[in-house]
Amino acid sequence: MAYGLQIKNASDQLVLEISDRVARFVTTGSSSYTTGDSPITVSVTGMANDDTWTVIVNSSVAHGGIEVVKGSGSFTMKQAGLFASQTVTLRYIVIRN
Amino acid sequence: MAYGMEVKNSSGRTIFTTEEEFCLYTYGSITNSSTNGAVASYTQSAFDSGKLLFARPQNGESGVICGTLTSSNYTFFGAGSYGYPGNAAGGTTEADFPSAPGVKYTIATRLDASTPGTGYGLKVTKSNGTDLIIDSGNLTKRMNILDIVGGSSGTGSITYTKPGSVAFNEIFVVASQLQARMWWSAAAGYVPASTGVAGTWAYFNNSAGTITLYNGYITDFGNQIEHDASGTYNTFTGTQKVQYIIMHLPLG
Repeated sequence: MAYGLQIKNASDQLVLEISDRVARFVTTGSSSYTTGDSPITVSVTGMANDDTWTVIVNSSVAHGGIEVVKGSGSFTMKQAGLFASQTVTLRYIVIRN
Repeated sequence: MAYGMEVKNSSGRTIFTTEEEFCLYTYGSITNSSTNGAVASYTQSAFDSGKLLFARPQNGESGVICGTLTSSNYTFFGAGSYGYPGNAAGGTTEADFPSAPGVKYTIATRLDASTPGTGYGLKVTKSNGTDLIIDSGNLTKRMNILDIVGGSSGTGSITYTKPGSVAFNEIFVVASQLQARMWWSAAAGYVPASTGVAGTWAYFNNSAGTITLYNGYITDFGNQIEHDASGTYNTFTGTQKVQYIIMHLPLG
């Protein structure tokens, strides 16, 4: 290598290269959401609506329609398309890259 | 940063910094299962602890990656049946969806949950002096994000196309966020009242080298829907307000 950072494992295989885009864990949590409610707001220090932040969301009820909107210092999440009066648990993992 | 250690990649993205203390991920090995409806030891508690389940079809295969996450495990689509498949009354199966025949998967864990390696190498900890941010002794496999797609206010599915330099068999998605339910409800006679799929899933097209991501539903009333996740026969309704990590795991 001419410059930069490389890490190899004990088998001499490259495991980290200076051009790599890595996932870094920020935080995790969960909240209850009921059909028709306003989106849940989750505060995350330093968060911005750019491509270095990602939120992975899982619902206790598989029905699609999950919506995540990133903002400054927080994100919102909801699940559209649920049946009437349904309450679910929305789990999230925040990743930075 | 005023002090500490920070490394950025050649595009200016942070690989690690002591200022933010966000740790990297690592994984051990990839499980190859030819079983339709394979069961992974990945639970809601695992999700809550920040672990990520990465998955794709077996080498050379096309199909949907999807499943169900419970307090006990994550069960991939492939073995479920709905209605009365093969009978005159009709029905459908997850294999008809079409779910991938078998699956490759691995569970990535946070480095700050790892025990620091001993001996030589690079080790960076958080300010508490014990929790790892990065540790060359625990980075045994390469994990490189190829892209993060979605997150717009658009509707419909999202299609990612692999770069020419990367083997499609080495590209994974985060299955932790992929779940769906199927249904088939019989009506009078042999005509179903409704049939469909709702949830979030990824369709791998091996010949095209594409991954199409869905977050919504396909359904039909009064007809036997053709569960074709490639979208050839079905009309999909959904949102793009979800992001998906496309991950390259070149070392298996």
